[in-house]
Amino acid sequence: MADVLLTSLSALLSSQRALATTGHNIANVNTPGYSRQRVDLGTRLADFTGSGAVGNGVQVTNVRRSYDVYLAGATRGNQSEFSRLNVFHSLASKIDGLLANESAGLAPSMQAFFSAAQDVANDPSSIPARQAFLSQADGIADRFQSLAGQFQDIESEVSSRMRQEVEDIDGLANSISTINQEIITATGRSNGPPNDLLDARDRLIDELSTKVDVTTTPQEDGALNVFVGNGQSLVVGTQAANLSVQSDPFNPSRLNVMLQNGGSRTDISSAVSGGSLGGTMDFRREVLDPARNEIGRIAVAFAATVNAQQASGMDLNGDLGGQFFSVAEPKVINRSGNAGSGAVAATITDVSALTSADYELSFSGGAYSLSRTDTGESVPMTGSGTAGDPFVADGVSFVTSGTPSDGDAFLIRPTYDAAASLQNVLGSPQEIAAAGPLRSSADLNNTGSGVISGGMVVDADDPQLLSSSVIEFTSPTTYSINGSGSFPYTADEPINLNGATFQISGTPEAGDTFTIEPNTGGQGDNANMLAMANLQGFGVLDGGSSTLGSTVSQLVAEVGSSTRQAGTNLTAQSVLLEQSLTQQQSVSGVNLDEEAANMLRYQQAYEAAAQMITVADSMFASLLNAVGR
Amino acid sequence: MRVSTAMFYRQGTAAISDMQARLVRTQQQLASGNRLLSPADDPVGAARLLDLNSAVEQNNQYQRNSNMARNRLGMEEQALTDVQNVLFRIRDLAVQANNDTLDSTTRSFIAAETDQALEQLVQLGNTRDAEGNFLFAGFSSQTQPFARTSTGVRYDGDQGQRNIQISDTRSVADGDSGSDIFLAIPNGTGDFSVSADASNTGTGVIGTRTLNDHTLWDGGNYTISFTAPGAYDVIDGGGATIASGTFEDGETIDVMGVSLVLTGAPEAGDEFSVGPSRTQDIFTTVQNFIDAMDSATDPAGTASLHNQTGNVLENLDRGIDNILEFRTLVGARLQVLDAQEETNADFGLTLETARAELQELDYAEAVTRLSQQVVGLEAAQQSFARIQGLNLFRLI
Repeated sequence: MADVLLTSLSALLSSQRALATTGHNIANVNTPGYSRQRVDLGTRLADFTGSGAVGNGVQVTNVRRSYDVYLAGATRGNQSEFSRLNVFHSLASKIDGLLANESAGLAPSMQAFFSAAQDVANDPSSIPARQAFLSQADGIADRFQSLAGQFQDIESEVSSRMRQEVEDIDGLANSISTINQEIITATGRSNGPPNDLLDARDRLIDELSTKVDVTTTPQEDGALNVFVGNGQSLVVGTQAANLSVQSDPFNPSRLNVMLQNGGSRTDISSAVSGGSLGGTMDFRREVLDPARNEIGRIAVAFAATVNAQQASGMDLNGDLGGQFFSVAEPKVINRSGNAGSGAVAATITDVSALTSADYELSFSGGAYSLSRTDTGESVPMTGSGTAGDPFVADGVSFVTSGTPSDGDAFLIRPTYDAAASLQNVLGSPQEIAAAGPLRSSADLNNTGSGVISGGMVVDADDPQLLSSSVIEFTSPTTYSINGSGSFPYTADEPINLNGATFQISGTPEAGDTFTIEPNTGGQGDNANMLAMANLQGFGVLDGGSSTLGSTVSQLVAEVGSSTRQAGTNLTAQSVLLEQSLTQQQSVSGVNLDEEAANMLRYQQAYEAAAQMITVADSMFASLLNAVGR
Repeated sequence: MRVSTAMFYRQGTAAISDMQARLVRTQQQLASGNRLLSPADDPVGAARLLDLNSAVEQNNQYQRNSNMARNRLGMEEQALTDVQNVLFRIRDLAVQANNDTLDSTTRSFIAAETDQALEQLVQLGNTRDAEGNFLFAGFSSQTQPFARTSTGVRYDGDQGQRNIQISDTRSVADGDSGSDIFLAIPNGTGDFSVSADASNTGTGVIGTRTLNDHTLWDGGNYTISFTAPGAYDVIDGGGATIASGTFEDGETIDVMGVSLVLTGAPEAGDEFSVGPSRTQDIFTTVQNFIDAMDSATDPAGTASLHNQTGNVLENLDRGIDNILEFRTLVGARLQVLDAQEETNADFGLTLETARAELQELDYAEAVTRLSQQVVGLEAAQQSFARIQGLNLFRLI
């Protein structure tokens, strides 16, 4: 009869344990990363008697957590991509909003600049019109500078985000290695799995995968190895690698991600992907750097074309136009660790060939070679690198000096600093060169019908540009210049003289003269300002195929597309994430109704087992009563 | 499928916050009236919008430029009309002066009035626009172009002409230089000019002069030199006699295709010259007329007066022709402005329409969307509130 008691007791204990587990589940209904636990029950070994096997009750064989490693892996992958897109999208939206802003964008102030140029062309001697034009010039310089400032702010944000993420990842790696140790110990001590420790570790890995894409490999002893990037190990057993940020050897303001494993330290910046860290770095590479350089390229092109036009005109003081905008020369950075004394000076020589890329000029095998840093493509250079014959590639010329050592390299950023440095350096409205520098006239006593055009400056640097000349026709088909030479006359053919070109049309007669003289006092002339205003529609970039305005719109469209694509992918990814979370939770999550039912089930089983003990007790009492006297 | 309790709450709140985000977006669109809230909403549209904004601004600028040019051309037109009227009055005076019976007092009155008219011409040449720039100074718009001196009228301007941009491809001149209007005027008929020598002693007066034969006229200098009262030689620029003839009062003399009707009685040694047209400014022409009024009143002097006023009338006509030509030119430019302004206005409308399509919100659609989203949000909230109350523990 003792068997009944023992059987009931086993039922009582098992139900108690099952109830305790249900209670644990209910208690952790809102615990993140908690996997519901289940009690596995089994029959105890039966007593084999002559009359057959008599059952000996129930026992708890295991307490398991409901966990599907594949669903958890899929969820992590989705979570990692979601975080990446989320960070990318929120950072890209900042630039997106910045570029198209009505009051902060480039396009409206560029339009205002050229409209003001038209107003000066309409009334070139008007000081108020010139003053307004100068204000717009200041306005556009401010706009470039403030955009550059905001880009700088975003870059700082990127750096501090990276620093924070890397710190977090490093902390998580340490925690995982610690928990690995605890799991190894716990696994060795008992025969059941350490469920809550496993949950805690899974939760750390979940959190890690929101920061960076990771892969995991379980070990025999219960530890889990964690890898980032292309298989660089972050946690091996109980050892965590040290993850940190370090300044780029080329560019101290730029951070790289360094992984230190034992003694070796490697730059894994290019290998890191996914998660908020990957998203931040993707944004820096795909949106921030190109956009910042592109703004710089527009600034360089704007300054160069306006300056060139200004130099081709004459100001109200009768001088050739001075510099209008100043803009920084390309930035050359020696890689820290360059052993030789080589130095490089870079200048922009042709804005139409300029790209928004950065370049690396490296010295190896006795020769310099150039490559783009964004694509790694090598770029052919002409010239020999001397001051007289500089290397030229993509509109930039390089003059090298000193003695470089093999393996030395220089980073050249032609447009990076341009927008921040753009400045209007024209002092007074009188210095705006609205007039052409030369005026031409036909002698009033000319008998032929020859008409001379206004002069077009082709070389503003010609020292003789402002000298007077007389073209005299020695016959209807030949002319002399300043009394010497005899040149054949063809109507409408350009006549090049001292850096300017003129055309004579019609039929001049012998003895007809045309005079070219400096346009001193030509305050009503707007020839140069008309040309300045027309720069707006002039292809100055990409080999002459893009105007300044179209380049701005193209940049807005490109950043807009990147942002939009990230947004669309983010929406899709959030659906995927939600699906895999639902699936994962349908396995591991606690359902209170289910637990309520379980509670009733185990409670009733407990009550029944208790009742059985009463029965066993009364059986035992009846027996004692029968024999006891 | 099992649904975990945490997931149930998570999805319920996610649905509600998603609905709210959409509502906020629609609300922002409605509040701003813009369809696009950031370029990412429609990157291609946003880029196109920037281009359109720029094009609209530029188009408006062209209309402003056009107005500016219109004002200046209007002023030039007014000044030219005034110049023309002054020249008409001087011409009337010249016709009146070209009369045998005029006594010296009347002549001096005419000379005085003409002098006033000359002064008026100079003033018209110095007309300024609303900004204080001289209209007829070429590029030297801050320099007074015309000044009277003891020897005539001096021009201090230049031959520059300013263009105003009125469309991407079209520009129009907003004025003409004083040189073109007042100075570069051919004298005589435009092909040739004649004159009587100032020292003539006879009463020969050149009347009608015409170019009969273009092919014969070579633009050289020729002199009709009377060897006797009834005989003359025609001498070319090299001093060679190329023709001789006899002359009677009112006879026509032909010189290299030019026909001159000569009246009166030239004396031996009197000379009449025929030469190519030269440039002579309008002020010199008027001054010549004033000077001619000083001629003597004897027969030879009267003949000289007739000869001079004949030339003055001819040269005044050239000047008036020149003014008319420029008035026509100004009118043509104003027409170009009209046509271009109309084109620009049409283009502006097209641009605005395209811009509105890209940028502006369809309010009807947005308001409908807003009410749909409100219904959706309410449904999500209510259903969540209903379902979350269902719990087995309540029933135990």
